[in-house]
Amino acid sequence: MVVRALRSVIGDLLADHRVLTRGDGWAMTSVLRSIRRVALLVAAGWQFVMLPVSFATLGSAAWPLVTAQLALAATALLALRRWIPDFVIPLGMMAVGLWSYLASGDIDSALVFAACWEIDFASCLMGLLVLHRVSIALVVLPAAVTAVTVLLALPGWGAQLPTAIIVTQSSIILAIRAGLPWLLRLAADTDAVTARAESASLRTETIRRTSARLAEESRTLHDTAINTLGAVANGGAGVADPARVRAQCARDIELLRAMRGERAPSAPVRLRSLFDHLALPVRREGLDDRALDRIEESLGSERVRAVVSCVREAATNAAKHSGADRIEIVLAEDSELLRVVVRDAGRGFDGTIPEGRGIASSILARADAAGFSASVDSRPGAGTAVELRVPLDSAAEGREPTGGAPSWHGNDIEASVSALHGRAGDLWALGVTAISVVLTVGGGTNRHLALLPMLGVMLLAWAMSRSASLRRTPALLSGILIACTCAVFVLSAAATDFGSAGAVNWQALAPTGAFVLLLSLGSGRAARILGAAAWILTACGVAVLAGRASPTAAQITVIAALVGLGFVVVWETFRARVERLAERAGRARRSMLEAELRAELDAAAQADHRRWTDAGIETSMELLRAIAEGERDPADPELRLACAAEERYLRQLVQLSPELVHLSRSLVPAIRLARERAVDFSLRIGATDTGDERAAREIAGTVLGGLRSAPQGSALSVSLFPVGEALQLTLIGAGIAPQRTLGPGERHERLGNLELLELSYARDAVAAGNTEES
Amino acid sequence: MTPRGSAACRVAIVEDHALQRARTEELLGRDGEFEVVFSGTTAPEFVAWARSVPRERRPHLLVLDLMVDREPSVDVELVASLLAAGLRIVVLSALASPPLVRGIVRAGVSGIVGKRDSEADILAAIRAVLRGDEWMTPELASVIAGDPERPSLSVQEERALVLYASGLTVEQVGAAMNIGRETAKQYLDRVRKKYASAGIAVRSKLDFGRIAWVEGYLDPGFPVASEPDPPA
Repeated sequence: MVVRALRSVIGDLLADHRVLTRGDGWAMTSVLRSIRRVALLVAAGWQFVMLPVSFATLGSAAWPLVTAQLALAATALLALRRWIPDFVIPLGMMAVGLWSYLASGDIDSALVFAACWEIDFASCLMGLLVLHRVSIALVVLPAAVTAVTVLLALPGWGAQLPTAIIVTQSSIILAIRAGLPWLLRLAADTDAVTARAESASLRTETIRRTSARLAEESRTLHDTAINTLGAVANGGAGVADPARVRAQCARDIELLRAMRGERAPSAPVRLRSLFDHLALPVRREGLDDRALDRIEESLGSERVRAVVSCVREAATNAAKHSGADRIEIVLAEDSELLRVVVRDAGRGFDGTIPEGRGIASSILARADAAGFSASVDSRPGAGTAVELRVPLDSAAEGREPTGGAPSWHGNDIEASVSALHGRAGDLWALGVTAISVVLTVGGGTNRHLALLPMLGVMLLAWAMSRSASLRRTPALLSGILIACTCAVFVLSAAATDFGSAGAVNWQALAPTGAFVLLLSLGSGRAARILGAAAWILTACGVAVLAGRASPTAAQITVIAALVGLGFVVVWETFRARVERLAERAGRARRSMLEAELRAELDAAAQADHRRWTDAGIETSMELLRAIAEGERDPADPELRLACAAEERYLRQLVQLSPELVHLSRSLVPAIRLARERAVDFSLRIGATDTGDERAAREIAGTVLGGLRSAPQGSALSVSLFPVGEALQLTLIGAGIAPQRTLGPGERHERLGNLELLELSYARDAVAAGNTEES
Repeated sequence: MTPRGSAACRVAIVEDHALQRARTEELLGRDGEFEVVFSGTTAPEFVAWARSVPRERRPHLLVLDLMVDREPSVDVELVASLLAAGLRIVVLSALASPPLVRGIVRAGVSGIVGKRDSEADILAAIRAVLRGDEWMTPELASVIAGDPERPSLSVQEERALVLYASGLTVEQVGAAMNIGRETAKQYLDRVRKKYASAGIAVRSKLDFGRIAWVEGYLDPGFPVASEPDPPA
């Protein structure tokens, strides 16, 4: 087991972590963006700590170094915009660190202390920004170069610092490479869980809404056609007054028309369909369908429709005028722009847009109307390129929930984010303690043996934060954690004799363990401010104390406090940023889900439309119309028979409760066939659906077989009821034959001139009737 | 809503479909056996009317179409309280949503007939319910058989129920199960009783306080109809 754990850690150290970041869920996106941004801001920010320290140590000789620091800060800010590759920044920091060592030459100076942290931060950044395993080499090699340079150029410093540089930087990069996958996997898991939950809720929601609508339609159908046809079929007093019957039929027709009108299908245009129906073969480049689906959400249906039309028009133009035998469509996404280029290698034209080519009206005007830009680039003999530039973000404004659109909310992202922070804080507190243990054991400066009680306090803080009873009294827990933070700071200072002995070994990050726990436990604002104030006051006190020994010691104390407090600020910024990003991602996700829901509902509505059309409600409407307009006499026996058949048909159609997702789809053809073959068909089904679509199809197959073999005018009775853990299909009629071998408990027997077939099927775990129904 | 001879059993009709209502009125009023004292389109309308008339004019039995209004049709609780107050109810329905019908049956309505059932069957069901008998129709059987949460039945009871609900007559159920007609009928009776008693728990939870208007509603001397036809 130990071997397996070790192997997995080594695997993580050497793996390419970019593999873990392939998902595009909100958690992963938030985490990656935040890490990058915060890391680069720290790089820039630390240069501004280095500036005064450089002047304090070197005086006016600091200018070349300071210029390099300023340049590095600017480069880090440029890297934020992705104008410069990330790995350049930590390399630059390492170089500035080494330069500072050489420029100062005094191992006890504040500049060397600050430079130590510059190099430490550089290693951290390399681990966070470069997910490939090459980051290990990018840290260890420069560390070795630094160590060797110090050994050769500053022999008076001894071997302890050069060794420490290699050991510390290697530990940092390895620790980050071991810890980061944990965070990335957590983000990936969160995304996966969210996606699963969302797709499940989405499905449930669609079914629920479709059901509710179909139930309403069933009611309409019942209140109108079924009752009226039944009354005509029954004859007698119900239809004694022809005027009243005609009025009723006319009213029914109106209601049925209204019901069908409400279900008018609306096919949403998909962005991915811009490759469909083009006049020439296409070579496609750039974004794939998944990316298009994602982008589609931030465009809105109007713009999608316009983009697709423009592309089709451009393709049509190419087919008509260019003489090329194919076109190329290139799709690219910049940060805020979708770029679509439709290009042909045909004869082209001289740049003035020819009249009548559809370009002016169909492409440019359409693009203009839909709020994006289009340009046409063409030269004689060099082909034509139509480029669409569609802004991605402004579309979102117009896509807020509109009237009548379904509003629905996905899962609670905020709660997941808070859990993520809690675990990250916990991990940091443990990690920083572990590093302190390593540094202590590795022979770090340990005056007064102060590191031992410091480690004790760090462990205590971690243990306290896990105590369930203390978590119930947050004020007390906050107090304890603040006290631990200050105590650890004082003890870490004491271990270097308050900055005057072996200051480069000052464990300046040690106090952050307790403080990050304070932040990640969701303590109130007051507790955080109080904690920071206590820490700053303690640091001031220690600095004053150290200042008595030497001003350099005081400077070093201030830098040590800045390292710790700076880290905490970074942590808090990171936390707030992840939260904000998550919130934004959550909003985007919700609007995407609502759009998806709408799409699924549309699809479901279309299927229903087909279902009703298949079922041929027209016949009923035609009967009602003939009566309403006085063409046929309600007392006519032939008409009454026809009404009886239609009534039975509709009654069975409606009986296929929309909540029986599998059965209702499969059995419509059966009742339709029964009507065509004039079989006196009776269908009774309960509230239980089949376990899957396949069972429903098999049942439908058996019923259809029974209907085909039933003699015209004969009766066939079919029922489907839950029996035990199964669903029993019972067929009673003439000429029924089983279409498969009978299993245990299944029967086929003859009862006089009737046959009885009983078959068993797996049933759905949830009965349709258990969901709400009004 | 035309009063007839006072010797007849008083019946009310709630049905929102005009043609169907005319037909039911005619069917019940035909032989003078029943007196239709109310005929309206919604249950609340019926309740308001019943409150407004003296007790001796209130009906013995209500013939109810479950799909009155396109609102949440009939309130199960209202039906339960009417039953508790002594009103007999026969549901006459072309169809209704299975959960609603199950709720109604659990509330204690045992007379359920389809609008397309024969006139003789409809009248027989009404007579049986007036007499205090429960009336097992294929319609009711299929409601019970379709209920995934029905009380547990013996294998024989369950098979009899399913076969009867699938459209076999009681004789045919007996033949299919190699038992006599009487035994088959006993199985069905037992099923009905088990189902009704499973509903008692549901019924007892309902608040009957708010239907004080019908206290003492049942007229002990109301005429009992002559011997009805046996079920199917």
